[in-house]
Amino acid sequence: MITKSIVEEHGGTIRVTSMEGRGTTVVVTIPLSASVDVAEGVAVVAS
Amino acid sequence: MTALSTPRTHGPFQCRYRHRDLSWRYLEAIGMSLLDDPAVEGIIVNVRDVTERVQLAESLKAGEERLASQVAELQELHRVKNDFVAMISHELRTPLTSILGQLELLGDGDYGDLVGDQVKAVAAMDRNSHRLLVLIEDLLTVARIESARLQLRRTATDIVPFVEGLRASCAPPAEARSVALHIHVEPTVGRADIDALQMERALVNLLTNAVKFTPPEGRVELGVRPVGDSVVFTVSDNGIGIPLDEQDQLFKRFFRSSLATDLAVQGSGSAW
Repeated sequence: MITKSIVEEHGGTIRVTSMEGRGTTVVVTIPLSASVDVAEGVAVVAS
Repeated sequence: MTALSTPRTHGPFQCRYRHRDLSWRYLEAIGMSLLDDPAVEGIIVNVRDVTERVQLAESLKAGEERLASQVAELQELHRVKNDFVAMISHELRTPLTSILGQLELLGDGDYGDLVGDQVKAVAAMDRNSHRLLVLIEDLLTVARIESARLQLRRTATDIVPFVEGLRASCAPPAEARSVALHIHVEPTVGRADIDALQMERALVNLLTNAVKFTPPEGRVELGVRPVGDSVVFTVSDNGIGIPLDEQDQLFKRFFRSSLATDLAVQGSGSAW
């Protein structure tokens, strides 16, 4: 929950794929600049 | 026959009357004037007893109000609980910091050389106090997240040195479990506007979790690369994995994999 919240506060996403006994892969994607997710926010409001 | 003016309806009007049995009865009336209609020359009034409907609407409204006040009450309770947790974890941190300081002095031999099992005992106290500190920090963060007070302090951060910091934090626990930690950063990744402290926390959580759930001689990898306007961190391990039916539970507040319980892996479960 902590990790997910921090990632989401950054406007990023987190995705987990896992197979029991084989391992887990977590992919965290973070926008390089804060303005990217602000712009998205505006677009959402406008639509 | 003369053209009829369009009959106009009036109402509905509602009124209530005291019934013989002393209960209130609600009546709804709709009137239509047909005075201009030579065939009728009258007023038609349609009256219905709408008591049941009115009572139903009233009880619905009362129910809604009750629900709204319960929601407000619960929200307040939740806020008080969060404030309490935040306050308590803050208060717990202070004495623990003092204990950690003293333990460090003790371990460094500032109070005289330690002999025999004292070294091991102090080391165990130090290790467990640090664990306690991590749990308290988690508690504080959860309380802050829940009351939406997690405020980021973003600065343009160079990713390459940032990832080196992650390596420094995660190498010791990986080494302790004989898990190989491989980190690969694309040098072109550049900078990102992040709260380096919080982001480090998030990624250290992922990495230490991966280490915890990977058996000795296993391997944990961190790949960092730029993709479009984003930076992508990929943490993968060849550990025990997470059962499919538990994967959607992962980000719940205190998720603990059943496998973690089986393997006696420690942690509050809030880190995900």
